[in-house]
Amino acid sequence: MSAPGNFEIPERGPGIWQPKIQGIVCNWCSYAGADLAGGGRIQYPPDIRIVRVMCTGRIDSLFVLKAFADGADGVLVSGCHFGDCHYLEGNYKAAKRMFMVKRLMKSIGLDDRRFRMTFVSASEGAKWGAVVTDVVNTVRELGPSPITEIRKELENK
Amino acid sequence: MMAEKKSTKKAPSKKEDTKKAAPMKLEVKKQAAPAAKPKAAPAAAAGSTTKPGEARIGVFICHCGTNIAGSMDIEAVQEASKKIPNVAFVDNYKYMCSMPGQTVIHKAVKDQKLTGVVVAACTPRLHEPTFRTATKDAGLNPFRFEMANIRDQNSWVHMHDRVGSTDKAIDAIKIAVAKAALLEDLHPKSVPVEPTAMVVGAGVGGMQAALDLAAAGIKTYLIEKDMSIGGRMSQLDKTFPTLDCSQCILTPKMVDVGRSPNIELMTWSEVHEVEGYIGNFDVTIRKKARGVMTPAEAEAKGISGGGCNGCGDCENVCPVIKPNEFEVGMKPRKAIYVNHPQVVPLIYTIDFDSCVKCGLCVTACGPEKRAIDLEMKDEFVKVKVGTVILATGYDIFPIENKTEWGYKQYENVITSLEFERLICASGPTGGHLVRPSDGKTPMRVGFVLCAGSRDNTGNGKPYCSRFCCMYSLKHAHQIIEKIPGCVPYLFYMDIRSFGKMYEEFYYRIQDEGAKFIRGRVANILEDPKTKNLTIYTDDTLLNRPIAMDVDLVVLAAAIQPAADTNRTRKLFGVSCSMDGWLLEAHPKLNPCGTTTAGVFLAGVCQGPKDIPDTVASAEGAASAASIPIHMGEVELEPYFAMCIEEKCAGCGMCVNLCPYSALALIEKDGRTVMQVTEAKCKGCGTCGGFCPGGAIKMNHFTTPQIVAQIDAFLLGGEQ
Amino acid sequence: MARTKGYPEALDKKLRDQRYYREDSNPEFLKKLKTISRTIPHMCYQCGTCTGSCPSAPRSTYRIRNFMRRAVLGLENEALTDPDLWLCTTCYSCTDRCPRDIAPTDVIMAMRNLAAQRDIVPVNFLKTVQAIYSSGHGVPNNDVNRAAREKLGLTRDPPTTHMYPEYVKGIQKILDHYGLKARADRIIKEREG
Ligand SMILES: Cc1cc2nc3c(=O)[nH]c(=O)nc-3n(C[C@H](O)[C@H](O)[C@H](O)COP(=O)(O)OP(=O)(O)OC[C@H]3O[C@@H](n4cnc5c(N)ncnc54)[C@H](O)[C@@H]3O)c2cc1C
Ligand code: SF4
Ligand code: SF4
Ligand code: SF4
Ligand code: SF4
Ligand code: FES
Repeated sequence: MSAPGNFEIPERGPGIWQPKIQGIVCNWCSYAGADLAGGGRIQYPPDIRIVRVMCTGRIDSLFVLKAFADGADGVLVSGCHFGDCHYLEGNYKAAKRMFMVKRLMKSIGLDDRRFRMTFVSASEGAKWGAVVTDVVNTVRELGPSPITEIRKELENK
Repeated sequence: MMAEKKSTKKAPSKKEDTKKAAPMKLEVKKQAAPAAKPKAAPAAAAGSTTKPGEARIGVFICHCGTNIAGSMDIEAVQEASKKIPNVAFVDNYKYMCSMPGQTVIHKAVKDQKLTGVVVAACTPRLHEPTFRTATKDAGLNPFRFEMANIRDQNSWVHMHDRVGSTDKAIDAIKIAVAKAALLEDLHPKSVPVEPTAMVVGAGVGGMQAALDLAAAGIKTYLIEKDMSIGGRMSQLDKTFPTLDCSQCILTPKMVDVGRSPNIELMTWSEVHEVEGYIGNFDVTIRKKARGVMTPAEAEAKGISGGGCNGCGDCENVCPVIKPNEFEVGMKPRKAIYVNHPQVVPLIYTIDFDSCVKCGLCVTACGPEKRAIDLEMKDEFVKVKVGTVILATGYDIFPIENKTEWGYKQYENVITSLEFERLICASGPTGGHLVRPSDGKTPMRVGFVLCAGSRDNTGNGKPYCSRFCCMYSLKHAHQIIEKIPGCVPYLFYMDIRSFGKMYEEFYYRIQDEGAKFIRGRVANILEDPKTKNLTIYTDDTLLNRPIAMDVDLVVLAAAIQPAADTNRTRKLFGVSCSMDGWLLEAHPKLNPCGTTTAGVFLAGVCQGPKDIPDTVASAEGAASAASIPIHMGEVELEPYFAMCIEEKCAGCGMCVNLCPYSALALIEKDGRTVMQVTEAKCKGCGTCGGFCPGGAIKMNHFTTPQIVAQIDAFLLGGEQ
Repeated sequence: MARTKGYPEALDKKLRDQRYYREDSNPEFLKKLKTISRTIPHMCYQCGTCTGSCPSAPRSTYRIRNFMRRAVLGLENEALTDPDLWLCTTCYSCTDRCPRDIAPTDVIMAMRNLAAQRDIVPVNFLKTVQAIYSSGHGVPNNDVNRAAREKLGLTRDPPTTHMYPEYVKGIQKILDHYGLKARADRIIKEREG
């Protein structure tokens, strides 16, 4: 068995809130890095679900917003380092859009720490583990998304 | 590839005969698919060939032995999967990728009339091709397959959280099913492959690759940034473990390269720009101004019988003196020079950084040859090639950065590469190993192994440089042989003699009298008067600190990727590992390939390798690079962009976003709309991620598919 | 007879020493060292660079590499009761050069901390504590030094607690806060009676 990671294993079960984190990552760097973390048995919390796209350039701002609207507690977009994008510059273009998403979140009162864009290369398995651990910890601290809370309130009314 | 196509076409028809009705319906669907495909399909955003609600997805959960089953509750995953909308069938098996596993898929597709296949197993980066083939064999379009990664990104990384891991696997399957339900038939396009290849870097690796390609009848461009081919190996004296003389085994190869009609050798050149994709790379080569014309170049300029014949008359008159890099600065050269006598091609080169343009060489060369042109400019040559091999090799780590060993502070501390030149008969001392300080023959020589290798301080390299143990053993042998009474002391941490006949070589050198001290050298001090050196270390096996006086120290310095590697790899879209070595597609299953189709790796540029391993990897790369050329055509992944013309407002904002200039605005039916040149599109989706009107459809990564994936996770599979 | 005196006993001891360390090994020891030292002793690959760099090693039986090995193996008693533990000069040469980027000096300091918790401290170290308590200096000024200082044109006493003895109180307050002085007094009394 591998060494436990740098995080606590929470109690899980019905009625206990667990953060729902949507990851959208590019095939060439971060997805490969996440696979490498597997090969290295680098342990991190499992509270993230990955959707794979060929390049972060594919990521429409609306995907991120849709995830939040659906009740995601956090979203992680991850791709290649600048200059290393498999398609030359998709990540620059994605980064621009993601800044916009952050601004938008702030303006509607959604804590923008719930959304993060990172750069993890195919050889950075350990970094992938650290990034996800950090994202999960941050979202745990922030608690359930206010959007879910509001939706619940509306339903109760 | 042709053969493969034929056989797969046949296979389903055979099965149709035996399996009666079920596959017939599938055939119908398959035919319906292309019909719905035309670009003008209305409401293409929802354009799935399987209507929602009609999808029948099979989920196949793999245990991967205990790799997956050990960390999660497969039963629970199976039960939960049954409840996911559109799932028609769920099964699990110990090894889905095995023959019996694939048979399970095959049978279920037929019996259950599945429209899509989801395998929950390792990673698509490993087995997507495997399961696509299985899906195809079962009679579905191979792009009706989707993978849920529950091993590399789940069971292996959540080994201590069984509940969390199980939940994650269920969600991963939901996400995959949601996509599978919306997958469409896709038909990869075949493009012709240019029947030429390119090898970048002409060390022993690049030369071997080029020779193999040429022997296979493929025209090959061999690009070398230096004036001569040969690389590091041409600087070596002898080679372990056989002690062959390096020049004797390399020079004939160099001559073969120079002579081969299929190899177009371009020395003093580098890759300037790369465009295109597998089968069709357009590469621009910068031919650096050499100042000297080859006979062919002279001929082309109308100087018949002219051009450099290697006589060296120019060199004799040149007044500029510089250190010769080939001799690691231990011998002088002129501004017009060849750096050693065996250069291929034998054409002089002017170092324009130090040339004073006095013109003496021009006169010396004479009116017949007229080979020298002091005003020569860089030239750019464009070539088209089908596949590319990178073989850019390595440089020596600047070991002076490790100040404790005194390189460049103490004269008698040298590197192993300097040692090679000093012990080599054609080297600056004619093969006499001497102390740089006084020219005396050393009688006690200390070898510092792992100098800068296996070093995690940040000032050094964390990896093992892999050949320094062995060449240090070789060096020990060489001094014992050449200098009677001289004792080599090897300071080592581990002797890594892993190759064929390597351990035997270690035995032999120990038997010859070399002394081995197990301790990494802490520091070295010089006696300023005698220039003798004292090595400080811990004899860890005696558990005693020692201070040993020696006459000469040889640092087995770490190696690092060649200087220009980073720029070159980016031109070809090749990634590198954390330590800068070029990244292979898969360390075990595809060590010569890269993530850029059609680009391969040979030799040390991928990671430290000795000559036998370099040559083996070069032959592997040459074989891999020749396959697409011999096939004549390659299939491109059909992930390209498509314009949904009714939605396109003709704003043209996507046009500038595309890094490959694949998009353009055209007039159609009185409107301005965008049009994709499919051959240029690489499918990154940057345009699709941006288009404000949602008018760009990214095949296999469509907006409805991705949104369905997000919804599946967050809203539990319903849409 | 005389020549073999003590021989069977020595042999006996040797055989006992050769026994595997398992029962003596305490994995918690390594964990504690990591926490206190904030370095990574478990990554030591025994190359010997530290001992080779150590100014103490050629002048004593102190081998920093041995202590690193004991850390890896969790040989707590062996490490903490070895008097060599106190021979490190804290020059940090080993830390400068360790290729695994470990700070052996900090591991030694962590071991000393753990030893001190068990009252294992050489008396001279404790006397240093007493000296600091009474004068503010581990090595207080003396007449030889005073003369030398005068020769160099310096004040006879340095501008420290020697010149301003009123500040000794502050130092005492710090030492008392940690109970260091009381502890030193107690151990010295126990040892020297
Ligand atoms: C001191 C020493 C002793 C050794 N002794 C032995 C031995 O005895 N036996 C053994 O098996 N191995 C030995 N080796 C290892 C051996 O040198 C390598 O295995 C071998 O040279 C690797 O060949 P290569 O073609 O991969 O790289 P290289 O020899 O480095 O060749 C790379 C070539 O590519 C060119 N190049 C680099 N970048 C570019 C670019 N961007 N564009 C165009 N061209 C470029 C370079 O100019 C060079 O010609 C020794 C190494 C050293 C340092
Ligand atoms: S080959 Fe030997 S000397 Fe070189 S880094 Fe590896 S272990 Fe050290
Ligand atoms: S997906 Fe779009 S941006 Fe990317 S290469 Fe194709 S056309 Fe260009
Ligand atoms: S220098 Fe570092 S790695 Fe080497 S023996 Fe000492 S502590 Fe261990
Ligand atoms: S810090 Fe201590 S162990 Fe390290 S070299 Fe100095 S005296 Fe030796
Ligand atoms: S391919 Fe990774 S960000 Fe573009």
